[in-house]
Amino acid sequence: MDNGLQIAWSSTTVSAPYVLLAVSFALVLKVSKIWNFSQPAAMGIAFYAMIFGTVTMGLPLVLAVPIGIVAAILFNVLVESIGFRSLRARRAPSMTYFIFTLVMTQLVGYIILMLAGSQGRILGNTILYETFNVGRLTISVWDLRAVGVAALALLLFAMFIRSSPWGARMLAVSNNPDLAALHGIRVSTVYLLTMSISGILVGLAMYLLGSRVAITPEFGLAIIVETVAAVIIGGIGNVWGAALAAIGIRLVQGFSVLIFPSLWQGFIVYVFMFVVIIAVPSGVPGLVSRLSKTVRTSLRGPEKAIA
Amino acid sequence: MRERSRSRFAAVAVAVLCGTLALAGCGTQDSAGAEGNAGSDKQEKFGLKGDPIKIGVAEPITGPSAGFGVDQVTATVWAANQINKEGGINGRPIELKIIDTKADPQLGIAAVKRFTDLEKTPAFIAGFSNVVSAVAPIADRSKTLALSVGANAPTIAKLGEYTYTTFPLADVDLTALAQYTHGTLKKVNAAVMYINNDTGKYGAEVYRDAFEEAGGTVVAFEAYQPTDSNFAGQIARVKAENPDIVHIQGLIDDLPQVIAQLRQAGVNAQISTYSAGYNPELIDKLGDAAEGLIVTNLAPTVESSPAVADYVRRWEDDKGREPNGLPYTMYFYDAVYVVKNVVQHVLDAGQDLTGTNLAKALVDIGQMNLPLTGDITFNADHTVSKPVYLMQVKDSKFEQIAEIK
Repeated sequence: MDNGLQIAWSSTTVSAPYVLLAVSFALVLKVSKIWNFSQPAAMGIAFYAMIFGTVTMGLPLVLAVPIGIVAAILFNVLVESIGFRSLRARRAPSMTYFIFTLVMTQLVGYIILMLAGSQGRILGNTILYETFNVGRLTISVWDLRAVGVAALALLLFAMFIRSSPWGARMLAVSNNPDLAALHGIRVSTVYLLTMSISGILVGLAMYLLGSRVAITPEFGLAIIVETVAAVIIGGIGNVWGAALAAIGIRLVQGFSVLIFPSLWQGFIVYVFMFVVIIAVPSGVPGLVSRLSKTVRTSLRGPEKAIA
Repeated sequence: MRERSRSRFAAVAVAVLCGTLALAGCGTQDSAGAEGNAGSDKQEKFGLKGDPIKIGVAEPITGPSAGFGVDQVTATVWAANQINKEGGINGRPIELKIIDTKADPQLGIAAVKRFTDLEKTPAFIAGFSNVVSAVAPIADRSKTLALSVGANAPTIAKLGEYTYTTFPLADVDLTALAQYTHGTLKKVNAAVMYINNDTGKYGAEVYRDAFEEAGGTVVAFEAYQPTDSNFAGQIARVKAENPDIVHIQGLIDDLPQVIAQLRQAGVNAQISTYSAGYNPELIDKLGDAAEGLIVTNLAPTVESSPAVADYVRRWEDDKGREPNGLPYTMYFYDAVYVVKNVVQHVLDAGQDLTGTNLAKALVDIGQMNLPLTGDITFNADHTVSKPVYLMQVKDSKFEQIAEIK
């Protein structure tokens, strides 16, 4: 029981940066309709800009993190304004976007490798954090930081989408960009805004990840499959579904050790993702929606018959 | 007008990004400025006119393992230059043919095929278990002497007729460590955590078997995936068994995370690991949590060997730092001397410089005294015998606590 609680807590807190990454990926997919595989490049740029801030400039993390976020925003804005915009103008097929974003990731990865080296690096001086116990549960300062940063970022994001005019414009463009343009919405600006928000989320995720694990230039590529899986399982176009799926994947990974030998952990996680994607290609929310529709229809059926 | 301002904005953004990346590079160690670093240590012939003796070096100069690979290559270049400076081998200079493998088996195969088919090197040096395993069949087919350095999977000794190691395999140091922790430190129950790859799996099995053979009990044997960052499940199982010692068989990038999470979870047992943990970076990342950690070391230390002290001083003078994985670089340095010794032996015997003759010479010579790592014995079963040094972190520094012969 204690083990289960600890694993549930650790898996949930560790999933915080992955939630931000999944939301970032899902957001670009929802609004811009692009599978943005250049996200690992933005991750690398954000992290190494923070390293630049702390190591080269000697800044405290609180100042270096904004540098990383700004770098990720700039990169994403570049990808949108130079890459995606010209691909849209040429009516390029979706495969071209896919290849373009992958090339960007590889290119940036090589540049970082050449400039910064391949050794794993961490933000700050240590990855050891103070801990305290709540009952039998051990909680670290990093855990609280991760949950706090992710929760606050997602709360602000939700408020922005629901309450601001630009949030409404993003929703409009995600539904139908042509119709949105007819209503006077500057679609290209919405795309830029979307990539900027994605950059903020990526920057925050890299701050959390970099203060816990050693990051290498290839780190982003190593976890992009998990990010994409979360987006699919969460239901394509469902940003919050992606966030929940990212937590779900981490929980499956954590709890699998209690049931199966730990040697199988990686295998179990990929089997889980494989089965869910094959069984529910429209994502878990899609399945829930279909099931509830079926239930409603079957309940309504007898009423109609009586009528 | 709007398009022009957009273009200007894009240009500024590009400039800022490039500047950020370039400046980020300024703040890094030169360890993986890979090609540049290796290239800055030029091979020199010191006026030797004889036909060069070509030796292949297949190592990761780029990629995730370049932090170690570049420094290991630098060590081989320094050794070759030193040999050439002292007159080479019968007046013939050593010429290293260095090819990047990224620690990728496929690239390793391509590199070794180039050594054997194009460069016609009678011997080559290679590191990393996965690469050495992949290229061993080529060494056999082409009858080329393959010297494995740094790879420590026990299977290395059984890879082929032409593959020899100059590095003690995992069973040497891990057996010594397991016997010491049970016999001297009186640890009875051990938990083992290992990364799920060749290095982790084989090393963990060797430690488990040696600890149990010494009379102890392994109460948990937990794997973690190379891409993992959360070990809560494994640690929960380890903690439940309340072991006296936790042995971790991981890599330098994941070892600090595993140790940090163990300590944060309240596991206060003794922690040990193998030679990958003998790295000052580990102490930097862990701070106080590194105190008491026991690691194995397979080479003499700065304190015990003036030659090693000179070698480390040279690193600090030339690069401003210690090499990544100091003992590994020492073995790479000495590997060139192993080649020198066997080539000398073959030439003195008036034989052709073939891989077959070089392999035979290695076993015939048997014992060597190498500049940095000292005495070594090459066994006919393709293993080597060496003393093992156990180090412990005390006051943020590694201190030798035992030498096991």
